[in-house]
Amino acid sequence: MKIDIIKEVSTIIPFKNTRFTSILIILFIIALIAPYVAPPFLTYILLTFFCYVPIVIGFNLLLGYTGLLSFGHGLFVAIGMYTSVYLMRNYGVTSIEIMLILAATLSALAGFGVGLLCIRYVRIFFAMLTLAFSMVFYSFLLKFYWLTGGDEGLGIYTRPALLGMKFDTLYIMDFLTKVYYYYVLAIMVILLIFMYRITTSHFGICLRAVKENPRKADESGLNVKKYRLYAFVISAIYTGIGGALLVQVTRHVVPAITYWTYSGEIVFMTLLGGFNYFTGPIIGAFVYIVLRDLIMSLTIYWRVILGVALLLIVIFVPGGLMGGAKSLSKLIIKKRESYEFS
Amino acid sequence: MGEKVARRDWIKVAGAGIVGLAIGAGATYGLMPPRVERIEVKPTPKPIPKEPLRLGVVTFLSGIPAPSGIAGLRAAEIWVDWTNAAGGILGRKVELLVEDESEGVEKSVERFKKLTVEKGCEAIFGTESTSTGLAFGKLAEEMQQLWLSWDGTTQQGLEETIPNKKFSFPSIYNEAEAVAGAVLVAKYFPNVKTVAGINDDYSYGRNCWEAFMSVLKTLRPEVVPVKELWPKLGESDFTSHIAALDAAKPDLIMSSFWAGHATIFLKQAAAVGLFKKYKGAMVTAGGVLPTLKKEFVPEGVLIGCNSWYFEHPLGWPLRDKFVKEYLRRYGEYPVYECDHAFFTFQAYKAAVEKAYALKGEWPTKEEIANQLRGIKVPSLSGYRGYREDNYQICNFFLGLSKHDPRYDFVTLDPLDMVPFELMCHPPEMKFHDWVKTWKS
Amino acid sequence: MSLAELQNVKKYFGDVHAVDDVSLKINENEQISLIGPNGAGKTTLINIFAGTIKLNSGKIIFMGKDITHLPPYKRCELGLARSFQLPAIYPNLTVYDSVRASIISKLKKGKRFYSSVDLDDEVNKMTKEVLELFELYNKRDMLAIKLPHGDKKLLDVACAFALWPKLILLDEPTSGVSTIEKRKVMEKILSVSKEMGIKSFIIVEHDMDIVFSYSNRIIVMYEGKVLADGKPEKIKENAEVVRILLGKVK
Ligand SMILES: Nc1ncnc2c1ncn2[C@@H]1O[C@H](COP(=O)(O)OP(=O)(O)O)[C@@H](O)[C@H]1O
Ligand SMILES: [Mg+2]
Repeated sequence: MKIDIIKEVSTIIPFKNTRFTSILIILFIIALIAPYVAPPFLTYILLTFFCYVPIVIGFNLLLGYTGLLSFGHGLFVAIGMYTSVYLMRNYGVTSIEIMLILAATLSALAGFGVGLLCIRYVRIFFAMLTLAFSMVFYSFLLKFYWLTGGDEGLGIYTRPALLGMKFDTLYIMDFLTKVYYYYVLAIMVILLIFMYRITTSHFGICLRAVKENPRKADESGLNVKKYRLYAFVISAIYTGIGGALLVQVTRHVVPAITYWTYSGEIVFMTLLGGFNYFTGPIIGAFVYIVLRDLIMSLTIYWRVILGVALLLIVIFVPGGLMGGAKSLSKLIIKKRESYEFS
Repeated sequence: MGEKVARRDWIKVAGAGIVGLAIGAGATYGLMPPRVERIEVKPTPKPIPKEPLRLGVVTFLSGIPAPSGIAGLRAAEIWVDWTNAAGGILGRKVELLVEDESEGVEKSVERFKKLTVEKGCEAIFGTESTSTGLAFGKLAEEMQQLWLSWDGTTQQGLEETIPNKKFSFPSIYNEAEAVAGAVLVAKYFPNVKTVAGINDDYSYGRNCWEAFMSVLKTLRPEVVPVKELWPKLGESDFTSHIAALDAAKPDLIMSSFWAGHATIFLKQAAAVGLFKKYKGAMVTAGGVLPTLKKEFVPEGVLIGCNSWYFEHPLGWPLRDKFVKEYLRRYGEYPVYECDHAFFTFQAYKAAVEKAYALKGEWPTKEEIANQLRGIKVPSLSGYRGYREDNYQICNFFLGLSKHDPRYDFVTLDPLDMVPFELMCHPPEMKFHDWVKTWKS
Repeated sequence: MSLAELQNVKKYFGDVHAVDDVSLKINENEQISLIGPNGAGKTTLINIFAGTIKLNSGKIIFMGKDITHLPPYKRCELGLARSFQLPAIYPNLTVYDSVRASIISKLKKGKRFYSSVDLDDEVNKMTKEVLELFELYNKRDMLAIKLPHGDKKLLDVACAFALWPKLILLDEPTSGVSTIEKRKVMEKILSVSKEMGIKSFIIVEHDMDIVFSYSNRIIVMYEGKVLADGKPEKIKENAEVVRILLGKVK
């Protein structure tokens, strides 16, 4: 009996489009073999990208699905990072699962508190308020340096245990690119499936209604503030988990993570890829991280170059890279059809 | 001068005029016998690789610290040009690969890995920021990659990073110039009773102020702080701070401003004649000495330079040659970071050559690290080296500002060279425990 | 028992007395037409009723509950739905998802984070039903913003109906639609409401012919006040109303 993999996957992930599902499976297989065929540093860049996936999709649940632009998501990345670092340094915790759970819990609490105050506002006011919260945390991290390490930040000197297994004798790059890589990949896939299900759930439709027309949603019986708050908390949890995963790669955390420029990078990745698409921010993060790596070595003006690129995209391809790709493929299909009929 | 300089003795000697002896003292490090290594005889040594030797540099190319970061990079480039012109290291041409440090720890860590893993750099040089320094110290050990730091080492960095360092070679720590400054304040301004401090509100500023006060109070127990001001790094208007300092009427104003803000502060202070009324100790302002014009910096302000590039009674040909080349290329005087950078490359080259002499083939990173420990090499400000615990050894230059008609900026006269032992604690001690021992 | 009651409701915008001391009782099975010239305060009254804007004074009772200070979504939960004069749509949602949002709200399934809405037969069956009734089903995959104006209005109304409310407030559902179309739209709305079992509604309307043929009660507003209230035949006979509405001056 032939097992239809695509159908099997479709039962877990309710994709309508089987072509899309097969592309995903191919990408997943590439990701699986990458550590054994790609140069180590490329694998390392991929690992960094995987850590950013929860961050950008968490962020985009707010921007793309709820219509709220947070300019302070670095706050939750930092909460994830500092939580892990604190557990490792001060409490001798090695289990990364404990770190992830606590990072998620604290991010959720912080997301609830910050969200409660921010969701009263929309648009620029919401953005400014989230930014303000992040900057307050930034000042806190700098001022209470005896707790937080101040501007020097805090480093971690031990390695996490993954599912209870220690890998202390491995060379760090092997640990990161051959072991931790798969761990993050697995978590990323789980989080992606969860997020996909959230966005295609009953809740997801309501969120988009809230985004598209909060007044109408309100008059249609949807508690707009509550939906925004839920989205904010889920978004914070995702971002916090991303931070907790990322800090094992950077092995050091500094307050700069909560500075607005860092939050701006998350916004940048999402806009670059296209916030109207589930895959947009993921593609944005990938392109941004790879491009940044390439251009940064060439010129200190890499920010300017990427900034101009983004500006051009925003002006000429408002849907971001995904939007551009979609309209391009539509164009090609149309052309093909017109050939067939002529 | 003996091998080990007792502090109290030194203060006496310093009073008698240490300037002339100073560089000689530095030179004595170079006369110490090399450590004995067991030579393993191998049948057929591998030939030296033909391809160029890649060395990575991570430093500030943009942002507030960029002037000193770029100065360090320029020194590295001059060193590379000179070395390549003389045949490279063991015949291998040197190639520099440069990355920007200004993007923060996360990206700097990524850059370190890129240079090491992708670009195949055999050693990483540089770093100025304390956070990147802290991260790199550990990273070097984890990656088993040599890292020779230029600047930005903190007590946390020394204590926290893996205790027995193998691959990381930290710079002289941040507090050193403050310690030296406090010693010289005790010497030149013996009647100071009240001190006001204005320092940047971050670890460097805080650590300098703490170290300065704890050393000064040890030497002069009657001294009390009367004002502490903590402007944000990047602040450019100090008028309110200056008014507050003036109102406190301290005997001495101490500051560890180290970049353009030192110049701005002194300029704005001149408007009310702050440093004419009160003594001043700008322990790191020498980093921008050529911008400290005579119009706004009065004579008699204590200024710390770390490295010295101007007129010097003893002379030091390597420095003179370098300053001439630097002036020719860039039309300005070098600053302290040049010496830090130049030294790390000098040390690396000497260590490779020493290891090669023992082994007969291109040494591994571990073997180079072994030779770096205890090494002494000539750098721009005299001899410099590494201690057995990987810690950098160098002397610092401080002095009182003087209006010399040959320059439009202030120069230092008298000029003191403060030796390493006076500024830095021995490996077995912690900084603050060490300062406490000064009393005995 | 009356379905809803407005007691001395007032809303002023500066000097403009948009709604000035209006008291009304609305019973079940009433198909009310709210009429009056432009600026009479009809939209404002609907907005106050639905909670879109806050009133200055007065009291609103719905289903025996004081809803004066309840937010719109809570009024909706009690069974009050509305459509807007300028069609309110979810611009970048498909027609299908727009109606689904209402259905999910109605079924109180909005807090299902992890269940696929595409696989929820109940939701999809009801959505299909509503869309077919409004003849929007073949446009279900179009984005709301891409619809022609008339369909946008219809979609707005469909979203309100999809909530299966006890009382529905429709603010000029036929405005901006040609006169021939108007009749069609009205007939559609009436037939759908019969089909769906929605018996009580207030329709704001201009067109006299339509008003008189489709409602069993007419409320006339003028300068914020209720000028007349009663059966269509009676209103027709009211000279003042005729003068104001038709601009006929004797
Ligand atoms: N938001 C507002 N601000 C100020 N005036 C308003 C506002 N809304 C309505 N009005 C005024 O209130 C009056 C009633 O308006 P409205 O309720 O829209 O009338 P109708 O729907 O009967 O045409 C008008 O004079 C209008 O100009
Ligand atoms: Mg109206």
